[in-house]
Amino acid sequence: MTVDDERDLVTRAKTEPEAFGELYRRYVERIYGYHYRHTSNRADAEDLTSRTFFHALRSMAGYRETRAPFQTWLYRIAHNLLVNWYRDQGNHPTLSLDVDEPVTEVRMAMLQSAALNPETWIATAESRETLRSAIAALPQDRKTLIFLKFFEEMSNAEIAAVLGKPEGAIKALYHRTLIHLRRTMESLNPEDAGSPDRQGAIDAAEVQ
Amino acid sequence: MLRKSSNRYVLLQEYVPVAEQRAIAKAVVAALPAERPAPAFVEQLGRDLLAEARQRGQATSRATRVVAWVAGGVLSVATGVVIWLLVQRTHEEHAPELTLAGA
Repeated sequence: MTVDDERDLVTRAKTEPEAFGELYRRYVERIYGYHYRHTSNRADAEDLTSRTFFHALRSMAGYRETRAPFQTWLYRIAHNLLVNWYRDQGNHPTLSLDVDEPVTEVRMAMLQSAALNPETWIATAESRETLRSAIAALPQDRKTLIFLKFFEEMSNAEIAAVLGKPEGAIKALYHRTLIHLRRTMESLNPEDAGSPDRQGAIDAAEVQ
Repeated sequence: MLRKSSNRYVLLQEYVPVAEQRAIAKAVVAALPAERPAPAFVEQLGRDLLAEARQRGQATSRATRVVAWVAGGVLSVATGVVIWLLVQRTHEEHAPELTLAGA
């Protein structure tokens, strides 16, 4: 479906229930996945997905294409609901994603002594689990940024519209989050972390 | 007197190369399992949304009908008043002037 087709569908969805149903089928899996990555449990993800689409349905008449594309508008609704959800949860990150138990200190120590190769880093269940924990511990806006960037493949401008922040702030936040994630990965691979290519271009100046 | 070393290092820039950004993205995508909604949930929510959309559509058309009916009524009354005023004015213009006999 082209951009024009979707625009037409969105216009029709304001008055035709079937057109809104088509939009729902297009986005339901992505919106659910987005909520699930944040909440780490199916019940909350389903609840937030329902609320996102009901909110979209009720606000559809007021939606203007000129302000933001439909996808951005829909994710903005999802984001606002998630902000409320995090507030209700008291900002306590949930570590589990329904599949694995949380990382224990012993397992973390085992991982740190493993000296994993970057290429195989993502291949092991333990490393995935640790990275999941690191992502779960990120502040909500950083998590949103990472999910929209890596899973929804949104541009910085689109993410800025979803989060309601300037594009420059998104770039800076993205950079900081990348560095944080890289350090998490390096902490599991101490030998590799010291090598010049992994360090990237780190310019340090000696000052008195 | 001992001179204490006061070397401090300021990190000016920490750059994440594009290839490494891709590797991090790949690792994050691999770390978070792809979770799809249960088909029963998708079906049920779809039905609920469709029902709500139809209900809203019916409510909107009912509201539109009421507004149209009220607007039509107001317009009819206003038209009636205007016609009555015009007829009155026409009658006044064509009516013979009455004068008192002694005046």
